[in-house]
Amino acid sequence: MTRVATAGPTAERLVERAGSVARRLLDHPLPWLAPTLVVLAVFQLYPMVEAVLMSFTNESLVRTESEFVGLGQYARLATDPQFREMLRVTGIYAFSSVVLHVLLGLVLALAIDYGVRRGLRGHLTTRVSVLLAWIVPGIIIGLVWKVMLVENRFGAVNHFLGTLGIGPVPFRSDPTLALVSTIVAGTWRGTAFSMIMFYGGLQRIPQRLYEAARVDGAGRWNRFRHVTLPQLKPVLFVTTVLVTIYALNTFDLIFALTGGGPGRATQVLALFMYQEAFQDYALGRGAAIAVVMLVTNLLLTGVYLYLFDVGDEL
Amino acid sequence: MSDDAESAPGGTGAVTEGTPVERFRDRLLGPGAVDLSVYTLYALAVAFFVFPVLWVVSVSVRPPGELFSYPFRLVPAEVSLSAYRRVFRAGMVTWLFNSTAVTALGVGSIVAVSVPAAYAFSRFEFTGRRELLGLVLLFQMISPVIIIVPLYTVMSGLGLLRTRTGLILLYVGIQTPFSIWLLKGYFDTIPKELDYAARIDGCNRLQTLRHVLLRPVAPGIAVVAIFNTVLTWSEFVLAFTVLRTESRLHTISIGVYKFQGQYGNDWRAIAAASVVGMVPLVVVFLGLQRYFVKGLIEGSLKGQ
Amino acid sequence: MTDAHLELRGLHKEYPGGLTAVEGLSLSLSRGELLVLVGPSGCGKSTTLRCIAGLEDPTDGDVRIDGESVTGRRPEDRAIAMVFQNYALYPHKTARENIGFGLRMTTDLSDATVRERVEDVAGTLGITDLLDKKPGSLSGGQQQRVALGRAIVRDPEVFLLDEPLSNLDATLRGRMRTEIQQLQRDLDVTTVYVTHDQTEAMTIGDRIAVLRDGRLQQMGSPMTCYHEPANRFVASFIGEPSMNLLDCELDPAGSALTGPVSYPLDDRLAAAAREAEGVGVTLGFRPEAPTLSVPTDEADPDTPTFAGRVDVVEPIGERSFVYVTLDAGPQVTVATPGGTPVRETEPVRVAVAPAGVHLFDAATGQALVHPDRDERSDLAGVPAREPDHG
Repeated sequence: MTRVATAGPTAERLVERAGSVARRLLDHPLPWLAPTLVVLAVFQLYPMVEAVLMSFTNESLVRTESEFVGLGQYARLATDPQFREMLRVTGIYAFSSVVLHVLLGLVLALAIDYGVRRGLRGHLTTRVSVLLAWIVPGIIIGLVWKVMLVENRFGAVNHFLGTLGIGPVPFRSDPTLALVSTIVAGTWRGTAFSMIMFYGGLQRIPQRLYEAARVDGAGRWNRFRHVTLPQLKPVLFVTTVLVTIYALNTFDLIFALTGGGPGRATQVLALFMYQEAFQDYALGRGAAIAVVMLVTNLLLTGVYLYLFDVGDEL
Repeated sequence: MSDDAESAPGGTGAVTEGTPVERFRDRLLGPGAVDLSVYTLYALAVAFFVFPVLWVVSVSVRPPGELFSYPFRLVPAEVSLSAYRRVFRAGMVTWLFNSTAVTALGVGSIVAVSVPAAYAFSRFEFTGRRELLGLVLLFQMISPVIIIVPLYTVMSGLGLLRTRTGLILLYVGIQTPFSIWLLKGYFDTIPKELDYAARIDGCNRLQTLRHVLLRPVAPGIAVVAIFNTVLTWSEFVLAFTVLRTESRLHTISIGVYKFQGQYGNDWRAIAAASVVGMVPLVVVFLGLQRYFVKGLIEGSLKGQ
Repeated sequence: MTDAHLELRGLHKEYPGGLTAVEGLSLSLSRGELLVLVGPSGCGKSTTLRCIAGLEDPTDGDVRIDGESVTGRRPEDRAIAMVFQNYALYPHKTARENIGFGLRMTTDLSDATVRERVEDVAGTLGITDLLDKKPGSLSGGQQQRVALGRAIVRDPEVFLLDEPLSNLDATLRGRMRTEIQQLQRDLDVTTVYVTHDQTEAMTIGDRIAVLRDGRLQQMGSPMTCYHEPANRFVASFIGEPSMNLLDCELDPAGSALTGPVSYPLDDRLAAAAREAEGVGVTLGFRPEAPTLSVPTDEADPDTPTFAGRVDVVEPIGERSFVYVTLDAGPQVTVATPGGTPVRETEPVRVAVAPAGVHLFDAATGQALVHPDRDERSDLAGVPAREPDHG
């Protein structure tokens, strides 16, 4: 073997020593992880701790000093009927979104998978269309649906209803309809994610299971019931958890579509927190709401880890 | 629900299996009927997901007078770009430039930070590795909206409010966990013997990464880059909070949002702003979605 | 030991978490020798190889090449080359780039020189026309050759091969085995070859080292390991089918083994059996040692005989393997010439001549006595059957 010349003048030896120090550094994981650890500490870990600490104070953007108020912010939230209303709205929004995302995503994934296997036309167009909705910025989705739901004939939906002699329907000014509208817009955007997850899950089901089921005389429904569903179960659960977390934290879309209105009919927690903190400058109270959301997220993450059984993979 | 049940994969071929009830059902909804319902589903899905975009495009190019025209025409009789002129006068060029700058620098930084970290998680054995990886996964699950209040004070303390650097750093902090997670899955599929061979061939770890591993993980890097491009381009809350009123730094989401606040009921202008805001991403994505879907599916499988 | 080219001194490797992969392993190879490390999976053979390569640092002990300690040195400073089971070719580089990569990284040879040396090696291996292809478009055997090329182009002092044939199908494996042997002899390079396949070990090695649980069981020529296994483990691991081993006890008089089967001992065996630490003595004989007869035949009264019943007859051509359950309980395997008269389920007699018997100390597993090599040679035919598995 030909080797690199080793001995030499001191300068060269110095370079070599520097090289070997660098090499030893590279053989330690820390240098590789350092940038990540720094950004995560500064932008994730510290803020999370700070959120908890802040929630015990009455810190405000408009006052310079703040004091410790213990559980005061939480007590105030617990007795605040508005907050309870917010919880209700968030709950309805999240629950409906999850049901719609998951069902629609599953149906589409199955349909596309079926189309691919059967060689039907249009599965690619369908997939791209769904994904298209996903990549539109949230704010713009809010605006797109605002345009769709304009409460006169200029809005597409009212336009069609108008030709049927109905309307115009107050999609954004009626409290109930406004919430429905946000859910529909949210579904428009979010279905792509669950569809992709389920589609990936379907690709992983071994074909031989279907063959075995056919040999055992299972019809189409039974193959779905006894092969597809059980095989898809882990992905199904995980997607549901992820979609739930996502729905609970929705902000931009609602911010643009209804701004939380009319009144507080579509004011989800994230929006409420933002307004408390940055419009009313009550950082302490905002932080308390954030902690409530954080705990919800952590609980769901726990469920996720448990279901995903990720522990073994780490 | 029976509709999607019938579209269960593997459902080709003869209809002779199953119980009599099943046979009946299968005949009733035989391959032809299933195909038909799947096609119907495709049509409905395409309509639901594409129509709003088309409508907005259509609204944006209508001349002022054709606002309430009847009967409905998706393709207007006359095309007017006046709404677009208005949008561009309001600062669209600045917003596009800012979004492009933030996205390019942000995505570059995210990749630069997460590739070495993913390498380390895949190739080193060290105490606390599991725990650290768990923590990374935990961060991935927590929405940045939740920590926006303390993030504001952090950014303010570091003097990063109203700066582009601050926003980019923040994106790196927020989006790195997912990227690491995905990339680690790719690294894990590359046999360790490749690293050994490279070491015997005289590479240190950095050279191994550069000369030997980078190419095999390139599809993963592509997915991470596309994914983060979409997220960074679209992001609103963080940008809005960090950039505040610094309008010359505003990104497309903020710009469009402010614009619609200003032009309350000018639907044509709002539609035009929306169109300009989504066109760049749509163009990029249409070109790359095949790789994206493939890579994401593979990545999500590996990540488990 | 002075002419040792590659030497391991008390090599010890313990992983964090307490797993000991290699325990006090010492061995030495003279220049140009091919040593096979063989053992079941998890025996520490691959770890040993990686310690020699410098891919892992031993917890204790020393690796010496050409009389010089290389412990702690980086792989590329050890003048070694390695071929991996899955070849580990760089998937995005052409065969030419794969072979030349090490030269480019470790030397400042000119492009022309590198090119020349790569083509030289490719010529030796007969892969000149594959040089511009990428590994993905090469067959297993071709990838194997590129991997060999990558190893030999750097003109190493020591050649390390980790299960190089395991990923090939049976026919190709035989051919590559011969080729590697040929190449090793032509290059006259000291080689350590790791495999879990004892047949491969027997056919390729100048010497073989049998490992188990990180400890060296026996080192010697293939024939020595086969005919004079140092202990029960080597006896059962080397040779296919395995040696028959029957656990017995030495009777108080010291003239016979008792237990599931009784076996009278002649003077030579009796003397050896008394060396055992306890009364437990294991009787061992290769499948080739016994002769089979049907009960109606006249038995040779001088040869100890076990009665049994045939379970399965496995014909493999000119020989058959007969699996017999002895009336006393244990099952034994007997190799017979092809046209054996015995039938499945029928009674049979297994005659084991004292000249074909090994004895092991049941307590320690150590060998007590082996058949005389000369006497044995007329008892058995081929030592091992060719591999017929994937």
